Amino acid sequence: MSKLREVTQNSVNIFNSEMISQFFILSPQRGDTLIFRDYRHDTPRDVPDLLLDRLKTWQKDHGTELDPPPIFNVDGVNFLFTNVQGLYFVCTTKFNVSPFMIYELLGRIATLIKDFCGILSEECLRLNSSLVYELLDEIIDYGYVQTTLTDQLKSYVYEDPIPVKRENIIINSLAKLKAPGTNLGSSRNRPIMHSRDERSSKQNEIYIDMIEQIVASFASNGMTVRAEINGSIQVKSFLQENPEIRLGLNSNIVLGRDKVISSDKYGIVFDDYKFHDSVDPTDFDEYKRMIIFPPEGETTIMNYRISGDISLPFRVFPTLLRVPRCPNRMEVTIKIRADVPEDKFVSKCTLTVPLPRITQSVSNENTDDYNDQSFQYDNRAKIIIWTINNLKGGTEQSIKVKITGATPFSAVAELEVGPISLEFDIPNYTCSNIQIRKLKVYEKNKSIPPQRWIRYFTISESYTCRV
Amino acid sequence: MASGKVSFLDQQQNREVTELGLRLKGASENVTMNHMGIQQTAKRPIIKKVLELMAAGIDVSSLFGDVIKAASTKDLVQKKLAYMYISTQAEQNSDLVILAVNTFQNDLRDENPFVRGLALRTLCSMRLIDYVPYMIESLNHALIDSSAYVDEHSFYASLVDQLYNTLRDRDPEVVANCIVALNRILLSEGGIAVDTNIAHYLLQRLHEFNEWHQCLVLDTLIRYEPSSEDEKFDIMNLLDDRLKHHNSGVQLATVKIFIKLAEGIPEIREDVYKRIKGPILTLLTLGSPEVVYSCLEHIIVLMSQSHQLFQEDYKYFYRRIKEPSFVTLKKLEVLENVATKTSSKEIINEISGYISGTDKVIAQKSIESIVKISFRIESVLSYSLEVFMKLLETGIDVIVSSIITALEEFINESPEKVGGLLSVLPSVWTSIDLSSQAGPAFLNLLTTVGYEIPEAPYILEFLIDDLENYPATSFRLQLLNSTATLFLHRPAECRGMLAKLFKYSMEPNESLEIRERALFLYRLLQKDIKKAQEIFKHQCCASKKNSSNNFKMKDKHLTKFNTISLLYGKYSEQYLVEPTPDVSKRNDNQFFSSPTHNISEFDELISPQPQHIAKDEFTLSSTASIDAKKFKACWENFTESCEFEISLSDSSTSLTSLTLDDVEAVFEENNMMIMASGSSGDYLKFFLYAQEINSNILMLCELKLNLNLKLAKINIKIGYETYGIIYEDQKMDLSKYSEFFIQYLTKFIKELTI
Repeated sequence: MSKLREVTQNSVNIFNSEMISQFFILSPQRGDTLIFRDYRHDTPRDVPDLLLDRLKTWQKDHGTELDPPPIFNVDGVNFLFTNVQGLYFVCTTKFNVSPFMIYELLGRIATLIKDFCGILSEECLRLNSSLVYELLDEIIDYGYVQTTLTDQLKSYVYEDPIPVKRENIIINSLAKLKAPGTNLGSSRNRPIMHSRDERSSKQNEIYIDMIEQIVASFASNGMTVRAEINGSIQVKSFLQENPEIRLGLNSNIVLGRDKVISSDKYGIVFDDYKFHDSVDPTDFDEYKRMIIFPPEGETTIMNYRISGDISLPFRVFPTLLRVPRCPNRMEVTIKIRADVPEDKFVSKCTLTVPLPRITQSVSNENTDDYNDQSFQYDNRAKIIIWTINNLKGGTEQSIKVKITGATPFSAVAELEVGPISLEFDIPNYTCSNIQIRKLKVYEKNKSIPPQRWIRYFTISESYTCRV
Repeated sequence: MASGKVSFLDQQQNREVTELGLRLKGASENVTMNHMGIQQTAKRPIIKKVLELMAAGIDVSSLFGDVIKAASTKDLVQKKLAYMYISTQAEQNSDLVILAVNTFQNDLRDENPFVRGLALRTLCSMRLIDYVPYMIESLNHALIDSSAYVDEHSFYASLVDQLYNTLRDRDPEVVANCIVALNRILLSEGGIAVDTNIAHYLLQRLHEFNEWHQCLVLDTLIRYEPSSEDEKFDIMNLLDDRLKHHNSGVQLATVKIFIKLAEGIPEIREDVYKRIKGPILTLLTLGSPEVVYSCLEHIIVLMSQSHQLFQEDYKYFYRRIKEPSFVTLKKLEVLENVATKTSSKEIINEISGYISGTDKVIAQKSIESIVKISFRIESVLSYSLEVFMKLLETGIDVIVSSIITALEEFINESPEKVGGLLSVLPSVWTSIDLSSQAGPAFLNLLTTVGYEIPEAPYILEFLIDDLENYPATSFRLQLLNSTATLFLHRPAECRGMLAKLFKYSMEPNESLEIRERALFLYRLLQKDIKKAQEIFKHQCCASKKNSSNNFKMKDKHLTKFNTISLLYGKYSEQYLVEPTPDVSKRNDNQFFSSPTHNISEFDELISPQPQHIAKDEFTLSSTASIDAKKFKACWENFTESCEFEISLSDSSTSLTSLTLDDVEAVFEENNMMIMASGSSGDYLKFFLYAQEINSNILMLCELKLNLNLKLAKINIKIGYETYGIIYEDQKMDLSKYSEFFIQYLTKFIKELTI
């Protein structure tokens, strides 16, 4: 036994071995280890406690506002972890592995659990622990990653998923609000696995989501400092046997910044893009068409990045006015304009405005008139939160807030107002105007064509305006 | 489940485990339907519960026998769960594993290939040397197994030739695991031998492997040395599409190969770097925060290789509102280095927006970043100052304190530029946290450039009257200096307060360092005012900062590319090659590290003969040398120890002026080596070691010198360098030598004060 250990330690210096010692899932609130799998038995058994201790000390030293970096080393054991919906997915290793591979793996395991069990939550993990162990057993063998392909895993997994009872789903749906755009709609929260005897035609569905995340910031004079679109096409497939799917996008996409855009000045220029392994992009360059063999479950089949000339969906016009008669007063007016087509609705838009630290009270004049708006002031954090529901494209809304300070506002107090940050969610709209023009499923031996669902979302990733 | 378990909980858990054991014994093997209509055996949920307890860290080893019985079942899920339990618990129950062997052997002959593979895998994953014969036997059998599933798991064994043959297998998974096995077996030779044939064979088949195996294959290919430039270009062409792979592990492994291939061909180097830039930026925009974090670390290394590479892409490193702070902090680090003459103003403007936010750490780091950029690019210095001045007026403690500290650095850089802007000091100084490091910085600012400010003397006077609220030594020392300096400029206004300060500072209960300084200044001013003026004029320009780009990376970082050691940066050696010893860990925090001493031959010649103390048999080796790891191990293992205190004579005041170097010199002269040293608070702290020549006894010592209390606290440990059984007479020796060592130490510590 001791000899085996020696060998493992020597190898550190020679080359990277992609070896994982343990994998576990930790629920940080109560410190419970929900799932624990030891692959190599070369690290201490109590590592989840080590990590918990480390996280607690970090919070003590740095406060809760500072997130711990996703990698720790305790006594020669490396912890690489990621936080998925409040649960820590952790790998430990003694080896000099590739961090990218480990983080990708952790994310993939989370997706696979979601695919196989329907949703990902503490409750769900407890109920389906044996299924998760079966999965983990096949994904990693003796510390080496073997496969994460759903159809391959399906043939190795024998346990059936146990659905989480209704009332527990609420917890998960709250978590979902934080990450809009992924896994929207309840019909998708279904395991890809069904009891072997109850396969029905209902299974015959495919969801395609085009999600564009917007990163933008404006200077105080209204100039755009930066604008980026990070787009992804996500597929959730319930189709059996990976049928061939043909998907076509707009023809005016230009690939790569370097290529000359001469004739078509309305072209959409991709700075960079990449496909999933299940995509055959041979025709993409010419016809903007791809052939996909989507694995069952959730897959991001394409990512792209656009920067430069982007018609951003919102403009914000803040004005500050100090009242000369009463120096303890200041008026903040914020106007927002939705620059999206008139037939589109912004389902939700939230503006967060930091106020000066000396702010004592805040009053707002005109929100009662609108049902679709709400206004909140958080005195501890000194921020106002203004939420607008169902903002119609091409329209404007504004808010006027009077703030009172403990001491008179000076000119520099204005510096403390802002930056205003926006969070929004625009369904049925892509900021870049990219659309799915064609979608065909070639399924063998099926009389009824599968149900296809295509959805578009534009959501905020980071949208800020200096005041 | 933490260390402080409540005994009630313990009992409850024990009861739960016992109950599970009973249920396992009683449960039938028959397949039933449960309430949700799922078919399963009665034992399955019980074993599931056992695993749940195991995951929670509860001791379930008492159930070993029962679970082994449950492993021989037709229910595959139950079998898997039971096997998982067995492989985890085998080490604690090595004597019971023999019971399981029978089940394994039955399963290895099972007609279902899954069962065969599962049994084989479990058998091989048990780390028990006694069962290796069983393993080898089964493996030999399995290698000729017809099913790929079994085959796949049989490779972690011997038979190199057969493995090299198996590399040609049709199934890519078999090939991948074959590479793993070869790498392990041929560890001493550096892993699998990658010749031209194997390299090109793997490159051609790369697409067939799944993403994780691609990482593995690429990682293996990095060891291949192409013979010609053409071959290098061929490889790059073949791998080009891997740069767009959806798995960042594959992407980065490819990037690493590109960089390595380009090393030998300088003319394509820039092009290769440009090629890999796009995919990395895409990762930065779309990856998970953890991937982005790793990416930023790699970008820092890439920039050290190609300075211009990311200079136009600086906007990608701007903060995003939702990202975790560890990402923002890394981005700031990148921005510090990516700024150029043209972009720096814009970047500083962007960073200045992070300062007024609520996050303290980010605010501080942002200020630091602005300072770093302005040091490197002088044209932007005045703009940064403007930004700082505006922020100073906000009067927010954290911001003001950090900026004051930053401004002090500016002064050393170009006093003439900062000077005029310091008129704001009187209006902001009340928001400075004077007990932090900003305190001394503020005083320094006030007197070195701010002496023209009319209010300066009054601020000092206020502070002197309020002296008991500022006990920190560093603050007091700076106050003495500052008041003396200001006195030289404006004697009339400052005379009274300086006298007052001297009086306070020389009170007997004041710390020695302060008394010493006060005395020195007093004598200096009394003796020769002109000389004093000269000295103080020099002082303010003396500590000119080294403005050179602190951003130096070594080539060796490239070999760490795509590994976690790159994320640890400069500490990677400690973390990954050997576990961090306690001593050097402390070094990082509070000690100024001092290199371990290996006395060179030259030193040996000039060093004095070893001192003889008490008897001739106590001679310290002049060449003893152990490393930090050893030191720590010895410190923990040595049982012979002694703690004592020595009070130091108060014959003179020279004690307070003792520096680390003085003490170290005394010890080194007398063959006591220094492992680590540093000062914390009023302490000087040392870790020393020495070796006695005749007996090879190793003596370790932790020494704390409290200069204020004139007390030396000593903790020594003594023992043999090689562990093992200590004989009775050696024990005698140990206690004898520890006495000698105590005498020896006492002598030199007393010597320090003379």
